[in-house]
Amino acid sequence: MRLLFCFLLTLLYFLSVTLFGQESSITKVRNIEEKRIKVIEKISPSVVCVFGQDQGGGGGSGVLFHKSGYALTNFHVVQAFGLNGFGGISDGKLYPLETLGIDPGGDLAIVKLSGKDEFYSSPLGDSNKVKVGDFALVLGNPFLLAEDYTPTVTYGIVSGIKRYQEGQGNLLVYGNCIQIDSSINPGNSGGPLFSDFGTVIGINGRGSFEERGRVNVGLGYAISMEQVITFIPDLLATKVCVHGTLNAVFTDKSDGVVCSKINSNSVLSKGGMSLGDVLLEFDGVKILTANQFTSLIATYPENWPVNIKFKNVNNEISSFWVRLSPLPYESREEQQDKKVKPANERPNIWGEMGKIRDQKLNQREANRIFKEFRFLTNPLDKKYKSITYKAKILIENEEPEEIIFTYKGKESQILEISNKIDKNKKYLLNCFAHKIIDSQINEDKEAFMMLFEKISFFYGYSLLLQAMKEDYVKILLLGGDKANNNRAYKILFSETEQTNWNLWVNILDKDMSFSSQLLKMSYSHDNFSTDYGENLNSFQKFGDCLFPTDIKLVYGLEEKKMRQIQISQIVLEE
Amino acid sequence: MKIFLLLFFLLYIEMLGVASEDNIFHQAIENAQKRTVKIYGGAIGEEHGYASGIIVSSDGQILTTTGMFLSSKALRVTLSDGKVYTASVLKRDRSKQLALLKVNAETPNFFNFNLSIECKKGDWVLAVANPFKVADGTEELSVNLGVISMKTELAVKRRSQEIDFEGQAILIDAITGNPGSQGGALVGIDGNLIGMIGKVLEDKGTNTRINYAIPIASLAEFLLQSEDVKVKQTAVVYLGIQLFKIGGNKAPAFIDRVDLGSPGFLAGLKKDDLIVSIADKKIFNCGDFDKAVKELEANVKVQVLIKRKEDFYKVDIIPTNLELEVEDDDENK
Repeated sequence: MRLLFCFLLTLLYFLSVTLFGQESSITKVRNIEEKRIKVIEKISPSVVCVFGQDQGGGGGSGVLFHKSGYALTNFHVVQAFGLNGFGGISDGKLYPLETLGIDPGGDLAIVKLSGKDEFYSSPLGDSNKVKVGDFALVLGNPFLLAEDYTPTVTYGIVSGIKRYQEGQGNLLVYGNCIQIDSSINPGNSGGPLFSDFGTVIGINGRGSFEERGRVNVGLGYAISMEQVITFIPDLLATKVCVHGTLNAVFTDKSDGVVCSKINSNSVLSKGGMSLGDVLLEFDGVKILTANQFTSLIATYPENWPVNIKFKNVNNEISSFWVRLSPLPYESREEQQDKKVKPANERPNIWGEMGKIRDQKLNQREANRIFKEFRFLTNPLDKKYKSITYKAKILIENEEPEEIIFTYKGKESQILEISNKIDKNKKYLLNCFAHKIIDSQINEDKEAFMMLFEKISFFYGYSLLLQAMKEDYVKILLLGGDKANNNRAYKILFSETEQTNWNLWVNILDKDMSFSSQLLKMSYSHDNFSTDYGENLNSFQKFGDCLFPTDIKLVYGLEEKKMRQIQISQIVLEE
Repeated sequence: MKIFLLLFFLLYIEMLGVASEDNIFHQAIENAQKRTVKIYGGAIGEEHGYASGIIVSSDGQILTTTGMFLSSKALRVTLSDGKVYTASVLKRDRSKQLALLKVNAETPNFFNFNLSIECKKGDWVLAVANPFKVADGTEELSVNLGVISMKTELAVKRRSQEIDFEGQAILIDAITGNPGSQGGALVGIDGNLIGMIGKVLEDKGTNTRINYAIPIASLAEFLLQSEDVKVKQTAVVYLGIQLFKIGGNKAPAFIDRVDLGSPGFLAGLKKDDLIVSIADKKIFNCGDFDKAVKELEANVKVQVLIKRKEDFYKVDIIPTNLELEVEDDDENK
């Protein structure tokens, strides 16, 4: 009977395949069209028509990527009107918008719309998967045409990927950008490039306007989402973003991409690279031509940690980690000398390069990200009398240690360590005062530090869990960074002047949706180097709270694993 | 159980099939990009020194358009693998605006000419070329998508200069009238070569750039031609007068210069005479004059009406044979 059923199923399947195969081409085209119309209906409400406060400010387009009203647009769009403007969306209404961060080097900006509890936003897509020939949907407001703010749709294909479009000096450079033949006209700037599936894969910003004035000539360029995501934290932090550089010049030679100019103070020199060495890899990407490298590095912010792999003159291959140096920019004054408009007529949105422009806005953003993360970690917002961790500490080439640590408020913690040598030894610690309250090793700071190293995570996380509830002293979104193999927001969280945490919070999930997962934490303590941090993985629920159960103490930019903690049990006492 | 597995497998295959169907252009693009090259040569003034070309044989013959870039002594061709070769010009045809180059490279990737393929209005086409030389070295050429608008004959110009464009052209709605696109491939979505993207030209009537390709039949005809064809003379007879043409073809046909001893000189024409008619055809402007002259025959008397100051004069001119002096195309300027 079962066999017969299976046979019938197979028959049915083949039948459906043949029927599907015979589907006429016109039905196919109609089906594709139908699908496209649905996608456009879905994504249209996320497209913003960006305007300045008055008629003179020009305008452009943007796209909402977060329900709280955050929209991406071009720097050259907001530069035209300054810090405040209006955004019109397809409901026909205008909402006030404020400019958060700007990236003059990469032509990006984030604006925040307000006046509505929740905005419709479009999901971000993975621009690394974009292929030449993919359909490319462009939505925006070319020639500021729409009176009711419904976007204009133009449709084409991806004409090229990883293109480089040089800017004015180091400003408005488009590296590794997506080239499309969908019409891009003035006013499309800042608008989204959508994939066929309705995910944002780029921000349209320019075209090859060389011969025929500023109208579409079949070559438009979009900043890749890959680049955009890296800059989102810096932009939300209201920074004037600065791009990264290696302070070296590379040239194509027969044996590869050779370093032909290098600053002796540069990060490369410090990493051991010298003149004539061949660059093999940059941040995991194989470098084949100097042009490819120029295009790639244009998509990185300053301070971003990257791995460099190179070959020296003796053909020895080695690699090292560096943080990118800031790319120099012409000062605002130098800029303005060249522009036609006098300085006082141009709205000043520049601020100091690389610095946070607006502390208040920054703290608002940091709080929002923090709240999302806090809600995940301790949803009931409870305060606990004690938290007891049972865990295993693994250090390479050493016997694993079982550890039981009980956190009891700030001042006293009980620690039990058991291993083969030191069976069930108990310590009473005062972490706050850096003391072991134990008669035998009293006042021994070294012994305390040795112990504290082992328990710093438990202490730091417990404190964080409690401190999050209380009114914290200070919270600041420092910008973007890489942590635990992810791109992250780096947040500085302070309870008091002495107790600070650096928290790395995930920007996007693997499926490209926004998530506020805590990735890494470093509890800063006057005796601890900031190069250490704890990578947090495998979150599990204990009681009502979310705890990481796999913690790795890591060191340096490469996040070298020093020690691993595996938590088996956590008991919370209210 | 096994049958279930088989079913799963079949389902999986079908899903793969659907996935590849979503990207109907990828294969055609990949094939065309392998068979299309970047060409770099000389540049003068507004003439850009780069173009595209299509590989038409396994021994490195490359078809492209004529143009300024060919005049360079160091004509270079970059194949899709990024390798750079110096190229020589085998032959060119200035009326078809085509040139055949040769590089010393063996390649299995060349376009086959399937002349039986009929392309129709509304067919999807992909234009693969290097506009604005955005691609360099191993970087992939740009691809624009469009449909065939129509097949027609062209009346075109290049800036203010009129161009004789022989044969049919395929008009497309993808924008290809950009520097560097010329010589690129126009393929159908099945990957078959349909034509080659032509030069940047403007329509004489509308003054707008046209996006067109030279159909594969014209390309094949050129490849079979054995001779280097020089451009046809626009005038077939010699009158020995030159008009005051600063206002272009729309300017009234005033004589600027009369060559000593020429037919015009012998007929008594002088500088500043206005030509009113030639063989009873009214001449409103320089353009009309050029057209009328083309129809004259050597050694056949023709009556020309001129206006000198306030008076009209009828004169007879006997045009002579033109001493063939090859009028050079822009590339030999």
